[in-house]
Amino acid sequence: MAENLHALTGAYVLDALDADETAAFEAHLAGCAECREEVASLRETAAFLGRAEAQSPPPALRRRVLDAITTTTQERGPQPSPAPELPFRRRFGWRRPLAAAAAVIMVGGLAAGGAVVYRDHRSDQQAVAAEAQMMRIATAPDAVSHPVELGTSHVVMSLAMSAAALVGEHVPAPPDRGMVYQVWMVHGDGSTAAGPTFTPDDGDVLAIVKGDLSTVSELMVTEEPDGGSPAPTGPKVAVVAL
Amino acid sequence: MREHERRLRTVPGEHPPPGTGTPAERLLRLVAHGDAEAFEDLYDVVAAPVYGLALRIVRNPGMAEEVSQEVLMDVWRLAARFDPSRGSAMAWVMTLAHRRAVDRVRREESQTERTQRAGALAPEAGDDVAQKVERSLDAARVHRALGTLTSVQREAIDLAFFRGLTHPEVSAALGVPLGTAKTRIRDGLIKLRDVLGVE
Repeated sequence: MAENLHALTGAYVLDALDADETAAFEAHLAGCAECREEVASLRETAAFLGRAEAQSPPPALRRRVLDAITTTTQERGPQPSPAPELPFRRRFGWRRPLAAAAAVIMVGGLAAGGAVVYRDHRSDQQAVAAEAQMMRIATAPDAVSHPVELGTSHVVMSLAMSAAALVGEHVPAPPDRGMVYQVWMVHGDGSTAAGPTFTPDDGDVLAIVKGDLSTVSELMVTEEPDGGSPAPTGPKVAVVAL
Repeated sequence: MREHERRLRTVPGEHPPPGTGTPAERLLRLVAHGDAEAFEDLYDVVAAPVYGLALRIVRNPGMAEEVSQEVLMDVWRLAARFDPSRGSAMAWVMTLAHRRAVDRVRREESQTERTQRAGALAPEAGDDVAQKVERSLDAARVHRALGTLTSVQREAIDLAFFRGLTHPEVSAALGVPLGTAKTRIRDGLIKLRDVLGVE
């Protein structure tokens, strides 16, 4: 029986089974890792065949599809996380150049001394990496979110991931020229650990903080000279009790 | 494929590290979170493969355009279902595209029409592919890989993949037993996979 079903991988991948066979085969797939692996590799193969047929569609299709999605609800993902409120849908203007990014993004130098640095003059690649990291944090099973009084911002954090993301919009630029914002992890004993610096990009901010958050009692944002400081020196801008 | 090898390093069930995966995978993950700009970028990556495959299967530009729109809307609606541990983003999109195109061609044409059309076209399958050889490196590789198959394997895959025939229809069109049709489709694909180095 299983052997018979196993022979169906190819026909399944090519959508050549009828409804009953498809249902039977999918039931079999659920319990057969070997078939799942074969189906996956044959799907890649079929995709390769299909891709070789590539032809530009009529240009009008693009506008039609892009218009249509604005009124089309997405199916919700299977993530069981108690999705914290986040301004996910903000339009990060810097994503544009990603368009035809052929090269694979390297996340080199992202983690620096326990705190991820999210520079003002970040490349698009770092921006995308930070955004992906923010999404990982936000979809972690233990993610929690706290509002931050800095524009419309939140800190979303995951203890399990030892990471937090400060995400916000409508954030005013630091009042003093040449200054940046910097995030600090404040421990129960009052000691601080330096986090990333950031400045708003058209009001949008995103900063990723990495480190053991279990001993951190609050996150603090101060104004610091460009490049950041090893210990807080500037005025306190916002404090979030965790 | 280098992209593919990279994908395989993703441990199933784990969140993929930030910034990893192919551009299409990163975009699709953003789309799953409702990112319309990422969708726009993803459109530019997948629209031509989707439309090209649809056109090859339904063989009518207007219909291919309609099918492509359905597929691209599926990509938007269902992006959250994409699981990088189970395959590449491109394979996920092309699976949706194939299914939609095949559904369409089965609705539009009776089995007889498809079988006759297929029967008439099957002997020229090689030429059909040959005409497109210069289109891209991928096409050239596919053409070479198809050349390593037996004629029954090649025709079975052509009929099922590009003509939307079910496996009983493939068996009838080729005049081989049902079990043989299934087997030829499978071992033909496996051969292609190995020759193409798709993994």
